[in-house]
Amino acid sequence: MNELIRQIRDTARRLLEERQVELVLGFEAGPLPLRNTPCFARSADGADRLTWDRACGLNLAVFLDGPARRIAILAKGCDSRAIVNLLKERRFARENIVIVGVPCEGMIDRRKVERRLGETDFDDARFEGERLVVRSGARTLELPVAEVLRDACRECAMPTPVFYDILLDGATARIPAAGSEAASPADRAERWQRFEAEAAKCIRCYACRNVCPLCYCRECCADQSGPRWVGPAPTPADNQVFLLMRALHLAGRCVDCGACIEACPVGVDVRYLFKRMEREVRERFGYESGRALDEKPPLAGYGTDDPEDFITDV
Amino acid sequence: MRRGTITREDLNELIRRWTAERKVIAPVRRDVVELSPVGSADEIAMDYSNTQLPTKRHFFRPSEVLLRFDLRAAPDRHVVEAESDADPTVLFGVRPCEARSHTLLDRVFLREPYCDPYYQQRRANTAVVVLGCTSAGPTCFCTSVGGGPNDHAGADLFLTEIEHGREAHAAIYLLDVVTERGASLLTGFDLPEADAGLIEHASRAAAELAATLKTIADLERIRTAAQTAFDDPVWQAICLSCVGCAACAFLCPTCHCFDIQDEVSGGRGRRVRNWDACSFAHFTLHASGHNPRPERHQRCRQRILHKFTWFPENFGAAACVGCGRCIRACPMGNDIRRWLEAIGKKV
Amino acid sequence: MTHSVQDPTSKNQKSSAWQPRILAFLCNWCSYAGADLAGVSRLQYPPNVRVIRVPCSARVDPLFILSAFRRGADGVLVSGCHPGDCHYLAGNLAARRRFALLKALLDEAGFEIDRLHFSWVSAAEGGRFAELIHKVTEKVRALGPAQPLAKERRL
Repeated sequence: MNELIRQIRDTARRLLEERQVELVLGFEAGPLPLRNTPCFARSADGADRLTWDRACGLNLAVFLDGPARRIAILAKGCDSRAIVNLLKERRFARENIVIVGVPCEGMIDRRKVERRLGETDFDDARFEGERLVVRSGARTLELPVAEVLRDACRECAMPTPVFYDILLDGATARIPAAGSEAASPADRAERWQRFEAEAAKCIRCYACRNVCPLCYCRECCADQSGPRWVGPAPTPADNQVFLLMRALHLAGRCVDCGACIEACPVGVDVRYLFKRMEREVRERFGYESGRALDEKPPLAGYGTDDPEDFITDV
Repeated sequence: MRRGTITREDLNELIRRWTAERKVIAPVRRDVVELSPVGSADEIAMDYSNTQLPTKRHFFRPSEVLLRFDLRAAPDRHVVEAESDADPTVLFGVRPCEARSHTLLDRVFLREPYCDPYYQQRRANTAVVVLGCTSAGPTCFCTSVGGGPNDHAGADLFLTEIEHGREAHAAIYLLDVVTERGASLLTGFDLPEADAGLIEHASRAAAELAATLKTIADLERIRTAAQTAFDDPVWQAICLSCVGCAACAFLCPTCHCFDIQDEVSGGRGRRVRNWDACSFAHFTLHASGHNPRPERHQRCRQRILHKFTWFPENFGAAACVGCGRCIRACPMGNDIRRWLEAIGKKV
Repeated sequence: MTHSVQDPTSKNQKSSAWQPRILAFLCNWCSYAGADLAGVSRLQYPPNVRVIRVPCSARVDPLFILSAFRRGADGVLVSGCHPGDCHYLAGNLAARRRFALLKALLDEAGFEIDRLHFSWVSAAEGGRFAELIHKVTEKVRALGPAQPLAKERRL
């Protein structure tokens, strides 16, 4: 057991024993390699199940509006930004949550591993320093961790939580070789092809929406039936409208945690749309999602001198 | 049942013949292994664990137009029923659990008096060539639900690799001709009889593989859960991290719930049947606003009991083939094997 | 949207007489009155625009716009009061942020963004309204019938 896991368990046990919280949200070993599953620890026993490695890519903030009144949550940098946004949107009271910040070293993109294997099944995966060793049947593959990290993690500017009650220091946030945002094709038709191809994969299971802590509408516009804005069938147009609306509804709110991409069972990846929204919000309105609790969300207000470059003038 | 042997080369020749006269859908390795129409045998992946998506979409479409209507058309053309697009097809190289799932779906869609014509036509026009398993994936549990690596249910032809061969084309397969339809695929092809030693060897290998698969909870006991554990807190306990998406249901080879909607624009439109899933909160939502399954644990319970209690009661078998896709697909890492184990302790 | 057999702008891609169908969301206080003024001033402009009157440009949810394209519109125009003149003080300023993002998003997705127009037209600007409709119609006409996002064309 490494130092960070020991700290996590000690902290969880202490918070539960001192009755500061009823529940600690963390991760425990899941059914498959590289697949930790949420852990809902309510006792010292539960605390001892908690674990941490580079397969904790889900965003636990999605469980913060559950029935428990006082909750402690293990939060990576992106998770803490999601919590900031949820607090701004008054989803729960600040005093009811204890944020245990975990410096993040970047999470594995399981899809990248699958693609390298050409297979969705692998029997075993373990970390050996900066290498990930994956076994599928008789084949073993050694991959540098940096190559199979999520794009979001490779480009992450704040892997250490910016907002927390307790900050664990078992590991220093260290992300290998940051990449840059991959540019979209300059040609419009190529961009459409790319979007069309991603949207065509969608089976409309809504895993992306449901794992997203910020997609919490009581009734999603994709589910509304009076009127039916978006058809429930995975037709090209309906998939496209659904994905566009999701990107738009998360403009200025998405924290680029990558949970939706990880969640997709068929590998739809429209992160670039979310990144474009992030860039527009930054450049137009000077706003950074989840950075600070006292910054007003861009779409909750307006500016008198916002850029008007998109207006059709005559 | 005739049992012969066939080399990969001869198999490729057969596939070439099939592609000339019908659609051939087979596993193809792109990013991962997917079922896809193929033009030649070279595209087909024969060394894979399982395909990302199951075969059910081939028979039971994610979205299917049932009829079109147009009030501006001539009165006798106001409503036009959609024809089934059921081209003659060979579903090649699918795993035994897939073929087994077809026999389960048949019990729903082909049961008189409500026989589904779209499904029926596609089933009637599709031959299934199964590739028996020589290894098991980490989520496989087919032997727990009545299947197995050598299960011939739903197969027209059944292939078992008996010699891997140093190069792909050198592989040799045992070929079982399971049905008449299977035999007709071999018309004009001289299939050499397999010798008893090979058959013996293949079935021993399959039995050995089956023995390595762990048996999950006792399904006979789970079946009684609707009576004995319906209100047990176990349901709340297992579904804590379920977020209510339909990744499990849409990737399940046997889940078959659907919803019928009219898409209308002006005086015309169409009636469409779309996949639906009991994990969605609005699945049971009434027009009145009442929802008989408002809580997440009730929806999880529905999914499990439908598969392991009510489907067996109505159709005589569990609605699960043990392919493990739901385990792999669950974004939260929920594992149906663990769920069943937990439920099994309560009944 | 009405569907009548005589509809001069009905969709028939094969016909050379294809006319774009453009949906315009006009705010009640400025742009709708501007359109009215264009009418009473007998200004000519193309008949391709179908108007939906909304209380304020901020009433226009981006979902309405995507929905219009999904249902077969070839172009969409949203017009409200000039910034600073909103009947509700800042509705158009709030809308401006939303529309800027929507347009950027559609651009990123590779949608033909010349099908989507935002503008400001006051109640006194009948001439400007007519000019705007000329401009928008020509831009949309140049692109031909909309394919991306359209579902109902294939009904």
